[in-house]
Amino acid sequence: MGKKDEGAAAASLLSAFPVVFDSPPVFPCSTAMADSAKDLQAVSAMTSPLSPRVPDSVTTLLATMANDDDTSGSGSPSPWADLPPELVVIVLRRLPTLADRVHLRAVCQAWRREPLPVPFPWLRLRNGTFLSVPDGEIHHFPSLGGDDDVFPTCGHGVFKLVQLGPSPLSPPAPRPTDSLYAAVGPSDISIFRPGPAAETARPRPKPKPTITTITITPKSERLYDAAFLDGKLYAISYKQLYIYDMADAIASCKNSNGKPPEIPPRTCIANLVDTRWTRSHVTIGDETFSCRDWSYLVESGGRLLRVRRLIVYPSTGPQLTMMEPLGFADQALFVGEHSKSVTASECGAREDCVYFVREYCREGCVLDLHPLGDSGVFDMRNGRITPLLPETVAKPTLDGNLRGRHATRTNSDPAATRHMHEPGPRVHAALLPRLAALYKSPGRVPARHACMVSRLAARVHKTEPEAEPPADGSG
Amino acid sequence: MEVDKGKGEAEETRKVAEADRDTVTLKSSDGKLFEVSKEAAARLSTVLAGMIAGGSIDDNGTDLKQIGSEALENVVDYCNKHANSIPSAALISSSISFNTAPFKEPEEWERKFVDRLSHDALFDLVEAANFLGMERLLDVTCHKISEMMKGKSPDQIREVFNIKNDYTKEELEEIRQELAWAFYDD
Repeated sequence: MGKKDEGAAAASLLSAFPVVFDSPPVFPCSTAMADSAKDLQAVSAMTSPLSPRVPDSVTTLLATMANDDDTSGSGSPSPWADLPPELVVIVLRRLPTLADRVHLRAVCQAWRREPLPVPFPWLRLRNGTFLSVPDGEIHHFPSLGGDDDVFPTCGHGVFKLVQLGPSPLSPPAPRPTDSLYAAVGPSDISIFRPGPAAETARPRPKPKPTITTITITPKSERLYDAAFLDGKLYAISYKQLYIYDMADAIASCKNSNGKPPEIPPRTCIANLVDTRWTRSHVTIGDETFSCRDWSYLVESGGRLLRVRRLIVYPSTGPQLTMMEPLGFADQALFVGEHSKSVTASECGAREDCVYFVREYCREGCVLDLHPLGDSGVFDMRNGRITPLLPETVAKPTLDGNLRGRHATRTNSDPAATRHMHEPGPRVHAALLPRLAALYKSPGRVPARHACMVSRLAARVHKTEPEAEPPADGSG
Repeated sequence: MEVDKGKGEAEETRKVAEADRDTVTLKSSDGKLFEVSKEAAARLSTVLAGMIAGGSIDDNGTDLKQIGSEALENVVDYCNKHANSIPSAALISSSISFNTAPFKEPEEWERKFVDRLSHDALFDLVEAANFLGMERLLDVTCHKISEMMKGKSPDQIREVFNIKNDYTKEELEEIRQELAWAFYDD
């Protein structure tokens, strides 16, 4: 893995809080490595106001760690600190949970030389808690609270937009405040500069970021997903793939006294309409079926991929297999409200797989009460979809929370507590009977389910992107 | 001419005999000799495979100056056990309950093999496996090491491995950022 990749990996670890499906908020020092001279970064990043608070116990622990006269390691010198770095990496990757990886790197300086491998992304459950998939632990971040505790327009993930301040060639590492972040929402983009870095570890008051919201699409159209590739912002709507020129917007955000930025110019570079597979219907052979469809845009290894997810109903519809084989080379895609690509061997995910989280119907209906619902894993090599989490591991409770070690922990933050006890979104009465057959089994992926990944653009940008392959289904 | 020819024949015979031998002799840094199945050595170690293919195997003991006798004994023991063990289809863990990568879990005998080692022996073995390019043995030993770390705090790991904390205050501040959430639930 190249240096840049390591940096990008570390930075993507910092992926933002206000997303349904993302990595836990961590600030490894190696983050700065991700910063390059490019204005736009193809990485997502955590913003400082969202860091969890440090409990007192940590401070105490760190105090004992700081004690130079620590004699716990007395006696004959141990060779373990001299473990070759390549072996430290193997051990790191053998540790499935982020907590264990962080602990290992905190042991001694030599063990910290290797960058923190990107962990298996955490799933953000709708009650504001996070699920660490490898060990099934549920983590609370009281200072993060619920959905309304964050930037209201950050629904589609936060990207590091531009690094201000010192040149990336001149260390020391820039602080998080030296960067601009962008959050792409359904119809606008919010560009913000986080508050002072010194505040990151404190619970409250939160540092106040400067937020500039720019409308990037007409009201009649909503954006499904956005991604950065080679310094350019891409976004997809139902019909089109757009590329945005953000230079002016960035310039005006850099100068906080500047005028509100104009709508950034955009160019449609591909037409995505597929008459055989629309938002509501899919044609297989001569038959047309009702379907529900979700589209995601993911940057993976210098390629821009569109992932489409399809659920066909009624459940008597055909079994679907839709896929275009793409050489993924150790990549796993995680798609949700904020899609991303990770190195599978690094985080312990299965390679050549698309992990998708439950999709809440945006209109307010929900398909079942299981917090993971229809989350599943699509294996691109054999076209099979399996549930992310077997029922035996996590049993749903009636209020839609997972039973976990920490699931019932008393939460000191009123906002988070409120969210914990909030029942799930109401089930849409009309849809339920139709979907009942599909979702009667919690945590199960419905059988009439398909996923398709197609390439929209590659690192060497083409004016004429590849035509999207037709939705091809077979029984 | 006759003599030369005979010499050539003898050379050839010797080479054939060498190729026919099914073991190789390895010599540790402290001069002890170990015999190991050639097939297993070539299959399990990329370095030994290269030496066997390249003919740089010494009948009187191939020098492995970086490896002590105790570690080499474990390596040879591992190779021989591996050669005799019935290949199991269950290399992929059956205990994975989440949809994560199917890590190659050690087999029962491999687990026992590393479990009986002292910490120092384990360290020497993992270094030897690294030096000899033994991917499987590296997997098994690193798995063992990771097992020893799982669920432990940095302090506890230091205690297990007898490592001194050598961080400066500035570095601790950085780590604090990482530990903030990691310790939250504890």
